[in-house]
Amino acid sequence: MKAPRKGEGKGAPSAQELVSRFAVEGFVLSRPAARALALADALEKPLLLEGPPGVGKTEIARLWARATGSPLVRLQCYEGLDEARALYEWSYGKQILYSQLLREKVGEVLGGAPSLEEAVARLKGQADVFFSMDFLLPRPLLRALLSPERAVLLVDEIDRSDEEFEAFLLEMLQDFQVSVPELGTVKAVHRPRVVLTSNDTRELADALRRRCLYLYIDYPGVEEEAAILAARAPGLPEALRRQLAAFVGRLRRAGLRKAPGVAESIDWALALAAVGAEDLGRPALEETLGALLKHREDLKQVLDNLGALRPPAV
Amino acid sequence: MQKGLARFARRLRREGLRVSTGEMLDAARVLLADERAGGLADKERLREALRLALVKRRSDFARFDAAFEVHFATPGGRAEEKKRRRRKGRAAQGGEGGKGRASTPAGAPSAGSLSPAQRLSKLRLPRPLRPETPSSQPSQEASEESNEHPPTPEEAAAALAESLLERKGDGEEAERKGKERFGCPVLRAERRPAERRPSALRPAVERKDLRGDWMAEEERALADEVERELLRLRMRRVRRKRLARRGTLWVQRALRLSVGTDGVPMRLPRRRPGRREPRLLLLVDVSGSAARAAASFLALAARLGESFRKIAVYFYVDGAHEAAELLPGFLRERPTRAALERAASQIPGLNLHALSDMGRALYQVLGWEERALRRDTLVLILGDGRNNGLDPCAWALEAMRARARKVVWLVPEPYRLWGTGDSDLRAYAPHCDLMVEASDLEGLKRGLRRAGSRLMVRG
Repeated sequence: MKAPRKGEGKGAPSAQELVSRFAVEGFVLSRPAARALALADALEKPLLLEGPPGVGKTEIARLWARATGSPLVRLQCYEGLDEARALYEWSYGKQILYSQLLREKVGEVLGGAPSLEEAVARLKGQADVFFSMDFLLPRPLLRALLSPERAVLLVDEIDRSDEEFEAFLLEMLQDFQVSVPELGTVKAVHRPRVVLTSNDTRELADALRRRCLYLYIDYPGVEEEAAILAARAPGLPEALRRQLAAFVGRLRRAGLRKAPGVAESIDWALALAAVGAEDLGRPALEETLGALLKHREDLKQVLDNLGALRPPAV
Repeated sequence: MQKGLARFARRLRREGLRVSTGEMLDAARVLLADERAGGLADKERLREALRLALVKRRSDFARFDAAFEVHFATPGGRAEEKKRRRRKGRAAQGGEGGKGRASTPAGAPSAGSLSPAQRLSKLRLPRPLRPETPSSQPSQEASEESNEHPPTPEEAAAALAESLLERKGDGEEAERKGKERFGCPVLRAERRPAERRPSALRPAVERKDLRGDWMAEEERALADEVERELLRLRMRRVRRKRLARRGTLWVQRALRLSVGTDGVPMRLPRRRPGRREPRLLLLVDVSGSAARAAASFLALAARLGESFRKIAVYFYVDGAHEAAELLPGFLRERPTRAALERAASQIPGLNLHALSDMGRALYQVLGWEERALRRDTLVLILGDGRNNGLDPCAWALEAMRARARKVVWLVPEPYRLWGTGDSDLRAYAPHCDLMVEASDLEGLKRGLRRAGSRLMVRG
């Protein structure tokens, strides 16, 4: 991949440029996705990517960072995620250590104080030193805001987090600033490019959706998936690639317990290439289908119905 | 451009999409940015750009596309659309009219000389289709069609779905394994050893079919048994809370507290796991065939739900009706059909004698509760899944399950009748986490105990 020139990360690459930069990384970026990224960049709006697991939402954010030459800051959401883990924490250990080491110095400062009130007044002027940036542990959100370059902030699987956390994100996504009680409001040095991903396992709040541009990424069509496989598993014959893409497309509509994502179909293509398969015959499938399907029942059902599901060789 | 955009936003709002002023401004900025890139000449690009800014849910894509097509149609196309609407309006006025449905008790002579099938089609209520998947699916199918031969993907998918649902082989083993037959785990009634079967001294209310005829003393015994179970449920919850985890060591707070004791951690505080009030969504069939089961179920569910602030209750026959306010009443009254009928009479529009239409109830509840359904929501359904041949709308249950934590279905029918006649349990089962044979009180208790344990783990 062509390394972005210094300062290029701050510019907004066009949709076409993004497609070609992603292609260098072996990622087939669809036209709507490229335009969504370009517009989110130009408008400095967060982009909410929704879609089933394994269609490349996280990968898009990762490659967007590479394509724009920006650092990637990732926040993986989960149930119970709170401000302390997402935004900042005070380094209590460091504060205690410093207060112990500086005990004598504190004694010196307070030594000449004639009264308790005077000592408190002197201490008041000094105590804030323990609540400065030196003792702050920035977590992903704050890291993205304080980044000296324009970063790509990936808030991954936002639907796993609690509603409280969603509400907390609103200020950040609206104004790109956060409030730290001891320090005041911290504003972004450079507004980060923000990507939120969701698997749509729960409904996100309207307030959050309103603040974002929205893009739904579905499973790719056969042609598109064949192109992805060509980029990621070039060792596979073209006819087999197309057959594989059609087969995976059928499986996705067959109501399996876990529909295979693009990542799994790439794994499967690589597995087929590794065993030197030339067609989707039963022996090759039995050997490699574990790369595609992740439940025993799914494997059994697919192997039992292979005749009906397998597309003819092209 | 601003005026055009405002008109389009108005159209979208008329179509039911919520477009805020902020989103309109976003759309204007998107269009300006796109114009600079020379994109507005292309209709598809315009659609993509507007969709990006104005639509925030996949389920709204279809409505947006339809509105876009109408709004940005060619003049001829727009006139055609107006004509189509006028025709549709005339048809609606002169056509079915939808009068007298559902409010008429079954068997009433209002249907005149129509055949049963015609009567049924007159009673058919408007219902939405499953939301379409708008993006890549059609192109995928089209490209497959161009270079492949039968069987079509739909046939192949149908074959696989059929094989997932159909019974594997025959004989007793398949009977036992409800999962293979229905596509979801099934909790069946246990066979009781002869020595434990109820005798004449002990009324057999626990194992008596709740749909049959009941004597007054049996009803009383049933109410007593429900009371005992209510007490057991309460004690269970107290015990669970007592045994709940104490939390993990809170190192930072311990360090902070140790400042007061010269760095020696004298106190070790613990961080308690986050508590969230789980939600309970009850969907209860109160039609004649399930009425007694519903009364007992509601009494038990009321006890289960009284510890939780968030509870939603819907009664349904031919449509869903909100009934959360009535739930506490079932703890005070004996769980009889009469009690249920008294409660139902307080709900305007609920007709206990209407034809059951669970499909309609499901998509109604999905529409009302979609935003509230989350991973901490347990959906409990009591019903026989009989739809009188109407569309079961299993997609609505699938959508609920995708959002909720669990879907547990209590079926007040013996297992042997599941999926027979007009029962749509086969369509619903793959979208449940558990189905319970709850044709008697014991089954109801077992089902609720299982559902309750799933709930209370987090409570």
